[in-house]
Amino acid sequence: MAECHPVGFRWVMKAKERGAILIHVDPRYTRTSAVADLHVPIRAGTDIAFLGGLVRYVLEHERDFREYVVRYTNAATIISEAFRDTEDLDGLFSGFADGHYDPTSWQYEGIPIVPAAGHKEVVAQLGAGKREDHELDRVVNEHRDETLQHPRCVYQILRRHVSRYTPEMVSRICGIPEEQFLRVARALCDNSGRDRTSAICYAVGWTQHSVGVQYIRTAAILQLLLGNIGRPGGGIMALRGHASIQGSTDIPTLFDLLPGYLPMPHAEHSRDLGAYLRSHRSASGWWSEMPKYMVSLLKAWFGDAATKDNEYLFGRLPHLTGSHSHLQTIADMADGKVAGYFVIGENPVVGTVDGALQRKGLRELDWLVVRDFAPTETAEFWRVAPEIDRGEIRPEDIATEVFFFPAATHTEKDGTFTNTQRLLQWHHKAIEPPGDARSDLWFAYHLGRRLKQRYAGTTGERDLAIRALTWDYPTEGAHEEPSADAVLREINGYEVATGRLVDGFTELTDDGSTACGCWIYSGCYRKGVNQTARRKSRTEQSWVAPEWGWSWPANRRLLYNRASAAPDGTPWSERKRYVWWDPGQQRWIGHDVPDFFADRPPGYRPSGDARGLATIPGDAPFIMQSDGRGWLFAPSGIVDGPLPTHYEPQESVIENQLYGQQCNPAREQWVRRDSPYHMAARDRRFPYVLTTFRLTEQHTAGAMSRWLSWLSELQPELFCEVSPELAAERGLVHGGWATLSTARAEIECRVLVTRRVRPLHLDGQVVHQIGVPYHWGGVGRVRGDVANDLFPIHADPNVHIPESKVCTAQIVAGRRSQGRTAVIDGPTAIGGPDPGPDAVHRRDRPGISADTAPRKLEET
Amino acid sequence: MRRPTPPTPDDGRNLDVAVALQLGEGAQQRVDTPESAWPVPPEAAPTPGEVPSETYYDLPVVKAPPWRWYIPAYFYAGGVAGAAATLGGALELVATTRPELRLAHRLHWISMLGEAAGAALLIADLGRPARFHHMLRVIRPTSPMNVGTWILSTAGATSGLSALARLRGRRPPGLVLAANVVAGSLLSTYTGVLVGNTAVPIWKVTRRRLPLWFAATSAAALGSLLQLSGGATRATRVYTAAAKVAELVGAHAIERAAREVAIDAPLREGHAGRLWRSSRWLGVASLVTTLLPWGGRTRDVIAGALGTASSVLARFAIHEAGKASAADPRATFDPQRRGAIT
Amino acid sequence: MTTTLGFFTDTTLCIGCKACEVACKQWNQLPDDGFHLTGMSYDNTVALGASTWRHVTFAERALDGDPTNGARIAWKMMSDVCKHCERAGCLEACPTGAILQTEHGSIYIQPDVCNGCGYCVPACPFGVVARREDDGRAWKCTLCYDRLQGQLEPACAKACPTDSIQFGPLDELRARAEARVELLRVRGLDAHLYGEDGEAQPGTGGLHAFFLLADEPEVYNLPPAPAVPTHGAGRSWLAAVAGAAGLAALAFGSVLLSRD
Repeated sequence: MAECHPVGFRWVMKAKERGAILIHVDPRYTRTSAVADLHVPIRAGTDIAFLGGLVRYVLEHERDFREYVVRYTNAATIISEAFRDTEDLDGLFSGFADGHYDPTSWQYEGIPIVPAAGHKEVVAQLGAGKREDHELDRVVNEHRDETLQHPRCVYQILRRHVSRYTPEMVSRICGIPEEQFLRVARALCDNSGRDRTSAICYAVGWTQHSVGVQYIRTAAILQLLLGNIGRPGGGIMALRGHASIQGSTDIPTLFDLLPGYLPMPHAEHSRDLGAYLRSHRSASGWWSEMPKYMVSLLKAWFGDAATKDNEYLFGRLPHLTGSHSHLQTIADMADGKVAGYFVIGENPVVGTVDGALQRKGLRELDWLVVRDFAPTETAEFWRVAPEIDRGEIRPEDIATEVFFFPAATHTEKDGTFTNTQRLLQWHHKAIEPPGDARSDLWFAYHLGRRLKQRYAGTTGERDLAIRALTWDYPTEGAHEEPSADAVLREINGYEVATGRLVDGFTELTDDGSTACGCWIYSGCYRKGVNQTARRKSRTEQSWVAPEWGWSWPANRRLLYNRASAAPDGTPWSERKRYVWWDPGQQRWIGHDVPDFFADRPPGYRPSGDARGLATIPGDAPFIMQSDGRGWLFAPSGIVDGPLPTHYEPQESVIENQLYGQQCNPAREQWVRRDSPYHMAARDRRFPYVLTTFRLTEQHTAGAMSRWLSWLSELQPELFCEVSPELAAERGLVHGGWATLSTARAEIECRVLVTRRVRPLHLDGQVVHQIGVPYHWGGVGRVRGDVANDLFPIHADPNVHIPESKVCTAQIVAGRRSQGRTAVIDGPTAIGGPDPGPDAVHRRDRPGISADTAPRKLEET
Repeated sequence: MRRPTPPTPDDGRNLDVAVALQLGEGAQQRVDTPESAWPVPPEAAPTPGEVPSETYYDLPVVKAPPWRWYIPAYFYAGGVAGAAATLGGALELVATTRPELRLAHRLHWISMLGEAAGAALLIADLGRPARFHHMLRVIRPTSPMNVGTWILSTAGATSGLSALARLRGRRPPGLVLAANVVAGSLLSTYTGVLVGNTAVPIWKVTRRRLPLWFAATSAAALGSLLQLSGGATRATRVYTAAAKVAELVGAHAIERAAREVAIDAPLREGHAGRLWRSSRWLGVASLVTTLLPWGGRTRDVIAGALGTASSVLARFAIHEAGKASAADPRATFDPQRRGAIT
Repeated sequence: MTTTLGFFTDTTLCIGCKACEVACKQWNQLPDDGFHLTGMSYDNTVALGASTWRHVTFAERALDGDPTNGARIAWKMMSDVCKHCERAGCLEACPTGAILQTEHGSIYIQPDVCNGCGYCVPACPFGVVARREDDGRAWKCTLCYDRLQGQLEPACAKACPTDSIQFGPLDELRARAEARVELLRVRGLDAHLYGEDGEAQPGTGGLHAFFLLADEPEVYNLPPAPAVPTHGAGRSWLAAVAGAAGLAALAFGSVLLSRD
């Protein structure tokens, strides 16, 4: 965090000065470790085993915050008899078939489907939402055992599930010495409970894995057991990758989401608005209000053309026909199925995995539009690329038409940033963008305006969406810059008839009388004041500082903060007082906006015929869930299991020590000849674990930092970090060159030999890890090879995030040869005919010989 | 308000000409190539990943002066000039014979030439030569360079006045002559203070001996010059021989002072070591040749040539030794650790 | 003179982000120095110079045995800067008077006066100031003199996210520093101040930019007992006068003794 979020880390340092213990878990000792109390080196890709070990420790030593667990989580809930755990099925849960899970057997006993909040099953199309026959109108009345003794209660299932994640097993899988593991466990337990809380902060080291979502789930389980969720100084903080990417997912650029995490409709399963709403809303909890959010969104987009009769033009929204994720699109592009591509503020040939496949995809496009500050490697793919350097591809053979639009920077436009803690902050335009540079808002607006002009005279049904779009944003200035302020007002939401801005999403309706661009942002312009532009100094307000910017939802700074009070509404302790029930005022009050119904007393219990929001009891903090509880066990909403399980990464140096099931059985793969996987543990060809990292001095794919001299001189060249032991083993010279190769590609980089990287001892073998920063590419003041070219294209099945944090690799001293070919159509490591010992490989991989045949291949 | 400096392309600042005003403190820096400010040779091999426990990657702690060859050359020219002014002034003050007077006049010409050359060399070494006169903006006793500028100016001025007087056939006023002697003698020795008044370890530790050594070697240099130019008298022979002995003693004293704190490596090894040792051997050879009872003019010329070479090399040697000493972090750290240098 | 202002740099708070280096370069509009990977941990800046006025040092100190934090190394980082000495070697050495002490106690080189003699360069016991060959003049940190005129704190202090670099009146900083050292000692950390006043560092009279170090000064490339060169210049001048006298004596002596 010190490396990637140094300004945010300021607060971690302040916490440290006030006595907080800082534990840093990372394959490498970084600048965060330098100021941490404890650095825990871990094998990349094994955090579930580590966290699972912590869960087991908490359970075995009964260090969980019992009252919190019993009352606020679904620990006491009893699960269906049909459920089978990974312990029963050697790494699989019940319901696995044809590469997918059917979650029916995971449900709460007696309830056919338990909907999750904001679920969006697109690819898997399973879990709550697909079936239209589940009973939505009942309060979730799960069977519970508050003594936590029932063998099928979540608590016992969880205990059994993690029973083998002993400290010794953690050491064997993760390479963490037992003593160190126990220190972490003790520190966490000692600092959780009524009087103390602990926080977990994570970033892409957790998410960029084929089990990324399950990593977060494990952390959530741990924090729920320790009673840290919804409490000050506790919780889980997701540190996002760069400025306003949180906003980018809130008002989304994700294919399967609509603004506010509403699910994108699916062509087959959401044929009409009714079906869609039935699929996705829940009977109880806040998500029961979902129709209001959806209808208001449609009203915002289509204005007067959207009426009840035409289902608010729901049918004219693009519907999904499958996965349109970034990785799937790349695969489709490489297969020639995509005609055009907009790349806005992103540099995928450097920032995403398997650059060779990305570039191949770009070569197949008819047209490409890139918007950025400077021509990035993505914009220049047609003349700056390893394939072109090697002479395999010639620019004149590429037919893609490339358009480059220079982009305005954040000082040259109005708008908001949404930070990782859901905080919206308005930024003001200070200067006109130079030359042809324009903001993204300008681009989108004028593109839409021109499309509307073009479609104005059409009559076809399918063109209705464009014709109906409300596009009447005021523009100003010589460039006709659309007003970001007007957009923010629309996002806030308003009454259609009067134009009055709503105070929050509670005022939204599902009858078309309100419009709202993003329900979770509703309230950001309440009372006609741009709440996001507020800048009251923290010295002039409480420590929560609610008057600096605006946080969604409804300016709550801490989600689920009802959990900071006991079931009876009193704070768990004076020290951790945050939000509490005031019997005098008959309201919830506190340091923050209570994340609960302001006037619902702790003792409230819903009657049998309660519906929607009324079904949430006064002691259920997790109001987004249908049962109002934090889910230790997730009966729906996650496609690869209700509980997190340690699986090895796709490319691993060692077998799964726990199960026969090596990898996540539900993970997304693209088995392609032009992008092979290396799935052979203990293979001498690629015996090392490779991971990527970031440096403070450079930023993501380098478009924003490698053009600046002041940053480039701080970290001018691509390098890899290796331990002295690995350097000795491979003859690597500090400051010299090395060639890193994987099954897909090869790069060269300088070598930093450092004790900050250490070899790990697991299960009788020494495992070396290599770290490489991914900031470099072929254009800019400082240039280098693209590290992400090395990584394979496969992903987490829930959110389609690629596993770009771990793969197997080889390292050889010296620069890469200039004439090596890329994998164009070489053999894959799985399946494929055996080429025989004398076959000439198109891809000249180092260290290959006939007797290093893979020993363990993936079964499924 | 300072006027903005017009930005130049590729000057390492990446400022957009259309919107940037270069008003920063560093904006006035003229940049031909950004690379030129890189503090170590780029090819320098990196040390292993761990910091050696004694130093910071063997990087220098202090910086050597950025002087070029002009400065050691100045040490020679100025030293000779000062010694010549002293000897010439002494001769003139107590001259009784015509030959003595003629010798005095010759010495004064040497002195004036040396001062002029010295001034030119100093100005040439400046980063901004056109601003040379800024040296005389202040009188700053803490700065040997400033004091030295005044000394040089005084010596030059009095030499000039004396020359004017003689051109008109008159004897220069006694005060001018005396001032010339004083300034001249200090001209040859202040450079020792200049060099010693720095953080360069080997110079700092020998700072009390350097001025004496500079005096001796200036006299020896003058003596060698006189041997080369001919017209030797008994006085000059005595002067030369004594000076050369003093020079060798002084050099030895410098080595000892440096060795006492174990930072004398530059005088023994490397480029500076070679120069220093060559200078010393040439000096010995020159002294021996000088003392030979026979040989006449040939002997004088050989001795003079050897001595001049020795004197010139000595200046360059002490300069190079300073650079090498500054580049060695241990030379700064170790004596300070031991409390050896205050 | 108004209040003496300075820096207190607490290296135990430094996370090596180099925001100070970038902020300094950006505010002062300094050029880059070239792009070279040095292999010296994450220090690709190497040293202070004419166009680098803040320099973060990185020292990976090997730890052996079983250290308490589970790591094999300790990474010591420090943001180095001109020390703005109470008795500044560069100021005392400058022959043109270009280097002066401002009303804030900082040491400032006037670029319109400096004629590039380069004498300040070896006079600094910390090796801070340097002459730029392209430009001809000597340059160093100005303690953001221009920002101080506008009542703003220096760019590096403003940018430092963890407040490792603290700026303010010197006596306030000293009090804060002393309390901090005490606190760290109680926690078992071997920390000490460097150059906090004339008593601690008589050679410089105390630094207006002083440090809290977590290791020996040499680890951060700081001299353990720096002294301004004029400290002890008296004896050197005496030697010069003696030498001059000796020259005169030699001259007179040779002449007089050679007479019959």
